[in-house]
Amino acid sequence: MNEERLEKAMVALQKGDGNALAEIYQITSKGVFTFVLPILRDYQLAEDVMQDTYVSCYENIASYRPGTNPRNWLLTIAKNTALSKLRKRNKELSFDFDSEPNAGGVYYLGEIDSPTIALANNVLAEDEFNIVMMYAIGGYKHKEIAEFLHMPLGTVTWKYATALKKLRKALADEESKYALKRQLQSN
Amino acid sequence: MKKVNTRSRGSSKATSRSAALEARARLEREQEEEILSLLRKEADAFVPNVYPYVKKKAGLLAPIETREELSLTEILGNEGNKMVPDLEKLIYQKTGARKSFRLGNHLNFRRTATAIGTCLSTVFVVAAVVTVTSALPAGSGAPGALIRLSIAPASSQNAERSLSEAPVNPYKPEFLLVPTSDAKIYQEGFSPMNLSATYVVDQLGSPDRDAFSVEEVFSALFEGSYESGYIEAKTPASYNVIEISIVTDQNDFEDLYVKAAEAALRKSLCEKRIYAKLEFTCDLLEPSISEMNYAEAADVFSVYELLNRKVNYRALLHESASVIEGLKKVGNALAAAPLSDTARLSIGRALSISYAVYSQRGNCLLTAEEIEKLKADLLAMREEIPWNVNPSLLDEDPYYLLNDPEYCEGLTGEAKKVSEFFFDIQKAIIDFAGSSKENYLGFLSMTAAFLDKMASRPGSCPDPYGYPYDPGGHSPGTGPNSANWGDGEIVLA
Repeated sequence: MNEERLEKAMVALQKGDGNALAEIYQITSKGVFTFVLPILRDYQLAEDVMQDTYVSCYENIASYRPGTNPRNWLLTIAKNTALSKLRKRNKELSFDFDSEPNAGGVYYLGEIDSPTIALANNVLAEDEFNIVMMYAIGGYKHKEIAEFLHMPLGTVTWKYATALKKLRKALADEESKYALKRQLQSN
Repeated sequence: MKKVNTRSRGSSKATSRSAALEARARLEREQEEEILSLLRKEADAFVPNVYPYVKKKAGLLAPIETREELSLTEILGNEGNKMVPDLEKLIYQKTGARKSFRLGNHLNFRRTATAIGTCLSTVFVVAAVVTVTSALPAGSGAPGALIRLSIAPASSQNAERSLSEAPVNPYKPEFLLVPTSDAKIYQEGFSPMNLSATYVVDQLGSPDRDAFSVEEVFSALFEGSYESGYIEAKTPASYNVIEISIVTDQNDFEDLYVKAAEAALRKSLCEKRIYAKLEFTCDLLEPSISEMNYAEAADVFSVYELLNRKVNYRALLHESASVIEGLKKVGNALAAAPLSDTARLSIGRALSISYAVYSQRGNCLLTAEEIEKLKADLLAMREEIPWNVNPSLLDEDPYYLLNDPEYCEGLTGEAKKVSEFFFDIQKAIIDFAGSSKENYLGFLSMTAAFLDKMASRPGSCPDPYGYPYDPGGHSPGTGPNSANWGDGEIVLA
């Protein structure tokens, strides 16, 4: 259903309907973000890339061929934008001796209002976090994730299951900590 | 002894084990769903909403002011006019003295501001040019600055975006103006002399005049084009793009003049209620352009633009006249060829790569015969090419310049393979052209001839990105103030 909507919106944008960009953004933004985050490993940078990706989509919509896979077309733009941003940043970072590694998790996510995602970021390994985010938020299938991350499908499903177990345990721990805290407060 | 049915006990054990496994799997599925649902609930907070920035950057917001802001500005302007006393009248009554000109009076927000706005934009852009030229000896005939001007009307923007709707507006003004140090533009100072440049010259020209003032040129361009449909008053979602690039050798030129000129032009467009994305750039170039005569400068700069500004400008200054002439011919042919902007950029890209290869005299690994064989192989695979192509074009070397690898990255399967093959041939052609001066000149002349042929055969456009325009099918523009304001296309008188 989403694919049909996306195709329609792409064609509408090609015909000059600027409003179609909002539709394209609404359908794909989560997928694009969870796709570029593992490449960039930086929340702010991923945000910038996402912005450039949609601007580039708008500017180059003439080169989209109706009937081909619009999502792949968009992801190709996102990937190229991310890689070029990464190259630029790495150039800049090579002179930045004071930069510190991310503390407390896989990525520096800044002040986000997403406790479960923040917990996942802290307790999961990088691959596991990426897989869970792409599956849960990006809406990708395991097979697609395997392609994006260059992993065998079996590894992706296994890592996904492991990640969920870890996350389940971490959530249970959090819950018991919270219960204990409440009990102490009530006493 | 009681007989025990071990088979039945085994079976019930297996059943209960499978039931337990099923229950566990169900529990895990439920827990998985629960976790996934927790994560999905946070998705909106986690994934940043960059759409407002995208909208702004893509120009989908009104680039000047929104309709509401415009009407508010108009109300304030009108009220302001009523509130501020007309001191000029009072002073005249009391002293008999009249001010010669008061800009404020002409900058009210009435409908009549349209024409004044046009003049205003002209005045400011021209002022910038005159200022830089004033540093040079007057009347020397040397160029003082170069102005590259391009207006992409809203209708052409839409056509560019559409694969299925035809016309790419051929009257997109895009050319260089090379004013001399005394702010005169000779006909030779227009480069390339495309349809738009011809239009301006026709508007201005008389048989006994070959030089115009910068003011005259800009007036003809903005007023003429405004009336005839280059610029269209459109909705914020459909806007014109005006690019003005100024090239100079004065360090502080941008700070001193360009920012003010940009602000003035924005204001003028706002008053005329024209939605436009206005892009000003100011490039500093050395060595001094004033060392050249204007005809040389026009040639070199048109070539510089043709190559998408991707080459070393100094190298061009010392390039042989035959190569510059060859490139200029390609530029002139390209200006008249029915291609989309994307295809033009692709050609520019291919030309700049070929120039870089030529200037280093690269080695070509393939002979001309081997390249011909590759082309024949591609012809056999033409069904797989992911755009419509006339097979006879696959025999023409310049056709291979019309596509850009970046635009085909989203392809998959056979379409991807055949595109990659296409680019291999493109690379071989470019390498071959760059291997000697003789080959390079041959390549340029072949490209110019190819583009000329395209221009003379409307409908045979090989552009993979769009369809050809129909130069005969335009309806006359009627001007934005007219009730039947059309789609902005014009017919040359």
